[in-house]
Amino acid sequence: MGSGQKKDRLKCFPLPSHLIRKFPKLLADGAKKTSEATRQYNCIAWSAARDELQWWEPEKFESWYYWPPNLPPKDYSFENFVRLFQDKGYKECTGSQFEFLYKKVAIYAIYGFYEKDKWGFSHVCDQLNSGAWTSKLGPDEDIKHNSLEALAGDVENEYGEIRVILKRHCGPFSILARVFYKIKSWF
Amino acid sequence: MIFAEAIDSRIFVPRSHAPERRAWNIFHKFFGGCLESVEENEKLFHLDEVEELICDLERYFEKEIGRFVIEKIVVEETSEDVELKTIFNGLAKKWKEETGGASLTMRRYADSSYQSILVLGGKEPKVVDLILHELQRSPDMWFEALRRLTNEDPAKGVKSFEDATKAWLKWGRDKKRIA
Repeated sequence: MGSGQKKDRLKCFPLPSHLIRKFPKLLADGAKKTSEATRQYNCIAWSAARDELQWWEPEKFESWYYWPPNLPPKDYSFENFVRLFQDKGYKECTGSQFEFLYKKVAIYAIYGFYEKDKWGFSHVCDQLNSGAWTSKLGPDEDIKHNSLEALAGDVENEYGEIRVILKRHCGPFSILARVFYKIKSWF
Repeated sequence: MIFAEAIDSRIFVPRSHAPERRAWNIFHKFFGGCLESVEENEKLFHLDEVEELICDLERYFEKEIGRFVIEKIVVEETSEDVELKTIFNGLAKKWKEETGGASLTMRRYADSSYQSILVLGGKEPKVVDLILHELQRSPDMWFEALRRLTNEDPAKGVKSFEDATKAWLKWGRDKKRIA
């Protein structure tokens, strides 16, 4: 993904109808589309490695897929996906509320998704400096949504439950951006 | 169109249109690289008939239609083909609906509709053609199915979804499975 696309993600567009059909709660959430649809990266790449966008999943189905070598390959357990983010400095926390000094990610899971009687990873999204969340929806567009619940549920393509929320300290640029958003919110 | 009807982006030549069919065969012979189909009557055609054939072509094919036809794959669809296509389209649609929002490829490849397409492809080689057409029409994660059904991987080592799609479509064109 080039810098041009990165810049584009900050622009908001109306939500396309196919996303409303797949995730009905997005409409009430006031979610916006922030990119065109692409199959070049998935939600993990988007939330874990925005600058590389080759990260994908534990099995290397396609030649452009990447999974950190220190994590077990072909292991689709929910814990493996959580560890992916823990290795990037995230720690489990409670609550999705905006915390000024922390960046958060939320991991969704569906019970019995891959294995019977086990939670299976279904989606991950991360919190923007504005406090909203950003998600890459499967092979579809990136969106900005205001609540995590907008993607949770078991209707159509919804991602099940929000199972884990993790956070890590923000970098200095993120803090500056957050100050900007805070000031902007006063006017 | 007098002698051919467009069906779902392909051209169907009614068997009953005998003279037109002959011209069609001639056309096929000339542009064999671009067209597929036409089995019967081909033996009647010889290279030394070229001039006569050109006349036939001029008579039966208006310029515009000829241009249109040349861009298409010509398939005389049997009822079995239609049935296979219907089954494939149903499975492909179900697969996209059920896993269209899935983030992980494993989830998409493990889906029962996708697996059914693999089983179908194991029995019917024409499924590969249908997959290639679908990939051309609406690019999606068909790569695993194509690899398994053809035992080839023209997209090995590519760096993106788009490149993999291009590599498979090129493979399909080289093998004359798609236009």
